[in-house]
Amino acid sequence: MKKILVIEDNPMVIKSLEFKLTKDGHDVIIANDGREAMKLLIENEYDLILTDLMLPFVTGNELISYIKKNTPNTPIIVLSTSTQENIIMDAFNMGVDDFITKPFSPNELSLRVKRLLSKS
Amino acid sequence: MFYMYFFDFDSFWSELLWIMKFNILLSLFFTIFAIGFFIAIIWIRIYKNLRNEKKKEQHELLIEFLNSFLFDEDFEKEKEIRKFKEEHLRSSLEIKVTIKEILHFHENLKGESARELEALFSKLGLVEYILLDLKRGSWYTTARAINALSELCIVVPDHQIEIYLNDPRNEVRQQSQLYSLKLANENPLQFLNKTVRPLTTWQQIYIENALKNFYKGPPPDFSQWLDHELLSVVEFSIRMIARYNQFEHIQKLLPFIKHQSDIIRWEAINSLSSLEYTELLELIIPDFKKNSRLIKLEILEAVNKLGSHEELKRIGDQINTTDWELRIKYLNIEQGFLPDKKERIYSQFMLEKQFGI
Repeated sequence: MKKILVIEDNPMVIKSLEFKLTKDGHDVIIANDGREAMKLLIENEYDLILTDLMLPFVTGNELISYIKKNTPNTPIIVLSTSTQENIIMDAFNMGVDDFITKPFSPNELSLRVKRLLSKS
Repeated sequence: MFYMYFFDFDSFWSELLWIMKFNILLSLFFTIFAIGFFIAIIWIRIYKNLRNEKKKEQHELLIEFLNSFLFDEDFEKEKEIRKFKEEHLRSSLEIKVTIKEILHFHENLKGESARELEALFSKLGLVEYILLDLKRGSWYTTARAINALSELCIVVPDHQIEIYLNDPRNEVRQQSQLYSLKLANENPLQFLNKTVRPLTTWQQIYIENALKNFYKGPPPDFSQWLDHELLSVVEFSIRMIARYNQFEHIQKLLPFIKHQSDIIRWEAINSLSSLEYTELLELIIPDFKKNSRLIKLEILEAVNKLGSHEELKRIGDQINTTDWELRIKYLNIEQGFLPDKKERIYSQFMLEKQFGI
């Protein structure tokens, strides 16, 4: 069972991701904000991280920098409402593996998660 | 004495002075009022708490139901929908929370999941409730109902929405315009033909944004609304011709640079300049002096974009030396044309300003 950390502040999205990814057979850990995510990242290691960019307390970009510095091989998927090219480019330049824009297709997300997990 | 009066209320009351009677009655009134007020506050609080509790319960139930409906392959959809409808869609509050939650899910999901939510909305019989909401009378209920219909792409007979295109409330008009635009098969702005109320700036932005984000078909021919009786629609169409690079309509835009309305003239100059119609300068520079400051500034902007220093100099003589807004704009543009003389232009400007020329 792969451990996936979901960092998201929208309760509806959290519930859907948790439900879908658990159904797919993953162990899903939730962080509701950047600070909680940072605490979890310090304490544990994860097989994949799914994060939003706009988060309370610690931003998604700060989290990505931290992950890339400490566990560079952990795949990261960004799930964001932003469709601005510069934001997407910045995320890829920081080393994220995939970028999904909201509204998102849960089936597509599930496939992308599977693909990244099989690679890693 | 008091004991006696206590049992003989009539004689006690009749012997009291009128002022005492008045005071007693007033005290009684205020005591009853205070108790009533206190009970009302407590009752409202309890009612609100119960309502919030019910909302929370329904919300949690829905998250579970919707997630199972969307992602659980073992979920017996038809049976569960029927059960949910019978057990959890009985009160108006339950229906409202369900509509809100389905819309929230729909907002965040796309693809097959979004389509399934749209189907679920109909199967739960919520479309009928929304259609009733349309007729309830209050503008916010109507606006919310139209918004739900357009969000979930639910097609209803045209006449049911058309009547709101000219509603006195902006919000209702805006939602019905969005509905018409999102669910259009061919001409997404056909509703403009039926619009008799001016489009506000905010509505124009909203329509433009909706056209960009929700309409997937070919862009409409915006020149068809250049002769609309509402100036705001004409203004919007001129702007859209430039936004969508409809160069084929440049000739149709030319008459608008002589239009009597400043706003239309400004929009026409701005759009033609965006379309890089270089012949525009020959049409607007000679009339520079006759225009208002708003248009003069736009003409200077057009020269900056399409013209040369020579063309700018033709305007220079026509600018009043004490009109500082225009002078500053003029000299700023000149600095761009003559980067090597930037410093000289700036010192000349400061000198002129110092002497108030």
